[in-house]
Amino acid sequence: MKPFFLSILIIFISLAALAQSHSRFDFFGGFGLYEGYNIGSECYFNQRFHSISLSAGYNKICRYKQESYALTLGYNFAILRERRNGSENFKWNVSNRVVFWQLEDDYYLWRAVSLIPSISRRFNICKNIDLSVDAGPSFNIVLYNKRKTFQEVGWPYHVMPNTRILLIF
Amino acid sequence: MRIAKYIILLAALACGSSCQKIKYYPDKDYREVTTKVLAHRAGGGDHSPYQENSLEAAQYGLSIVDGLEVDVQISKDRTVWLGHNADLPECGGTFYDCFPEETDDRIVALDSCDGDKHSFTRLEDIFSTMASSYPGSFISIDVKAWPPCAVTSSDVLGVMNVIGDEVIRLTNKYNLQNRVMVESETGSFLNYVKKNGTGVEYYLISFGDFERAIQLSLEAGLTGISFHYKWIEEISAEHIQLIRKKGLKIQLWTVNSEVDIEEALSINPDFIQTDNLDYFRRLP
Repeated sequence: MKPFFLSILIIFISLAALAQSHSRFDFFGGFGLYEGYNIGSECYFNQRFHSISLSAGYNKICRYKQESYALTLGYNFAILRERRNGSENFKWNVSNRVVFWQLEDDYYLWRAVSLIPSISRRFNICKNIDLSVDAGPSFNIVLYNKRKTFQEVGWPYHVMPNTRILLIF
Repeated sequence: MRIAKYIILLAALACGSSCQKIKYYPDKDYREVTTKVLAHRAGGGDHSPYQENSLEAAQYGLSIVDGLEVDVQISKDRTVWLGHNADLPECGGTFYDCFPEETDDRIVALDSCDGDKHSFTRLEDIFSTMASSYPGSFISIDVKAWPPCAVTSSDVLGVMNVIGDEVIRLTNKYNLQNRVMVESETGSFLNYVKKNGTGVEYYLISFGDFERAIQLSLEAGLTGISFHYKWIEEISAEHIQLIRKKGLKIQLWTVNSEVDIEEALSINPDFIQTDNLDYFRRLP
């Protein structure tokens, strides 16, 4: 699993380089409950009105001895716009994401998919850097599970609130 | 001001990153258990001299093991009868509909038809026998969600709930509290019994997905699971220990060969259901 996520990381670094010379791409990094600490890229269409994104994430929670990986596909569309530096930007977006995640702890290995409709707000914090905060419910469906020990019984929450904070370059 | 914003952001990140995505269920007090044996289909069927789900079979079963497993149906008069299938047979040139569409009189008439070929027993007769002749015996009642056999009985869950009401009523009438169990694949029905009955236990039937069954039982606050033994998933002593640690009970069905019975008894479930009453009759 780790080599796969390393490959995704390299792809996104390449995309980040591409983003410097091509305004249709953004590069972002941040944290989401289900996305983990993630980096990715967003590709815009129709004068930045629509976009699709792809990101890879990782998280380790020492308290629960949990390690998780996530791959996120997203589709976003803008709902409110603002004029900044003479050009139009969008500050509110509606996002629909599909997160494929794997989580492993002392008791189980889980593979699941989360469907996350959310709404996000962008803040311009300095030139060429935006902060995006989004929130929405995460609907979780277990695809695979494997019991590792006979110490505990658990199951992923079917619905959980999810938040994601991103820095967009 | 800007620094404060970033501190709040970092705090939110730290808090969010430690959120638990898996719901773990707490441990309960551990119970020591002696496995009880239930006669499957009331002790009747191919392995027995008696017809399955009949009073004669039940008396035979109760004389050998700790209790019974029975299948039930409900008539148009809201009487609960023993029966595995909802359909009723043809007899003497008369065609019969399914249980929910036939009155008690018609079922009694069918019972009298063709001598001993068809025998139908009310659940109340079994409860009465248990209370009067076999105190301390157990009964597990399998309530199945059959496809509706007519439009007038198409409310399958409603029909099941009426069975649940009748089981609760009979349990109280014969003082069989903590001796009566209902088992079903239908969670809504089990929740209905749980909500409306006291002294009746409720088991979720599982055909092999142990993990899902135990999680659903814990989530719904059921008594335990009724697990198809050696079907899709093997079950071990560790599974049983885990179930007990979480405060659940487990029935294993249908355990018939001598090897399987010995294996099943060795892992110490709460109940096993068997057709092989000969094995237990031979025990000293």
